[in-house]
Amino acid sequence: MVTTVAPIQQALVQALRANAVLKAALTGGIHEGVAPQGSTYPWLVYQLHYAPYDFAWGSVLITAGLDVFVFHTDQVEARNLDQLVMTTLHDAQLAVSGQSTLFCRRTQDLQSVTLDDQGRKVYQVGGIFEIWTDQSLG
Amino acid sequence: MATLDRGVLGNLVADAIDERMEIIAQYIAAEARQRCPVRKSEDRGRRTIVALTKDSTYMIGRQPISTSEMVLAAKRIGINLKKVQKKRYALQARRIARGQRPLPRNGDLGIVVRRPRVYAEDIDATPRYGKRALSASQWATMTGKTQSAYQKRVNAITEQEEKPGALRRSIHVMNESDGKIIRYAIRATGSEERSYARYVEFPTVHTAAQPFLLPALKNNERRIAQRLRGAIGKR
Repeated sequence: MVTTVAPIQQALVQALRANAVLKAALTGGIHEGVAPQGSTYPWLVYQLHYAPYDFAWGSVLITAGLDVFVFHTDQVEARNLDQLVMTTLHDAQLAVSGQSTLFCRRTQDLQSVTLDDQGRKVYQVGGIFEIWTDQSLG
Repeated sequence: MATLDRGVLGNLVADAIDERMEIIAQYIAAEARQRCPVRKSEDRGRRTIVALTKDSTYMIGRQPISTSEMVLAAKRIGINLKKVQKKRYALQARRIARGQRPLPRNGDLGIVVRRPRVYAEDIDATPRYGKRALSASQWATMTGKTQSAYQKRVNAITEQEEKPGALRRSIHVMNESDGKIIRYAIRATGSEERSYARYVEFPTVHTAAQPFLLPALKNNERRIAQRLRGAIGKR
């Protein structure tokens, strides 16, 4: 049975939560897509960006790209947290249910500055992690 | 999207690749347009500014107030809707439109206001009272806002006229090749005045991501490699 990209996302979140220092620092929590209103800074957001399937004889390769971004009002702290995320996930051996993880690497960085509803300057730091997994067909 | 050095490839192969890459870029741009999120189109036409008092209901503008709006307005100011006849609304509205009743005074109204929804073709953003255009001072009296807000409102309405799909229409292929380098890029900007594609592609403080460009590219990575190999092989 072919499994989807959902176990990959679960494994990524588990890896992030397993880092006690990172989890304690993210007082706003780890959220998928967007943080709920009223969340305190800093928080982390992850979301699936792309996940093409590549079928070969007898196996399928999933190349999942996931956005992982940290939001903070302090520029330095945002970058420190991003570095912590990088340390946690880059070349990590993720435990994906039903799939073998080939590698997990950051392929793209992205930073921006925006204003939130209260007019505070918010620094968004992060990037895309590409996770390659392999599983057999049937 | 991809950069290749002509000097390394040789002119014959480079021309073949150039042609092939343009086709691939157009294909990926088409897929990106399919994936691009589009705002739902809204109903055309204007909505009304409705002033509701404790005594009766007025209808101002060209369209009648809907039942749900009447119910909402009545709840907001605490009147018993059953006691107010629909026929009376129309009568009151006609009297106001003809100028037989004075404008409602500022301060004693519970107002249900719907923001006008207009499009680029509907360039007359002047607030109206029945068929008569309102001046800035009249509008300010009626709504309780300042006269400077009048112009801001008109500007906001005329700027609001982007039809849904501006981001999708802005996706295009750019040939950035020069004599030495073959390069094609797929760009998306948004509207002509604002470049907001990045805020759709990636998450922000307020919104989740709605990716369209990268998924289109990643889904076709193998196709790019195969097509380029095919182009080189034929030469």
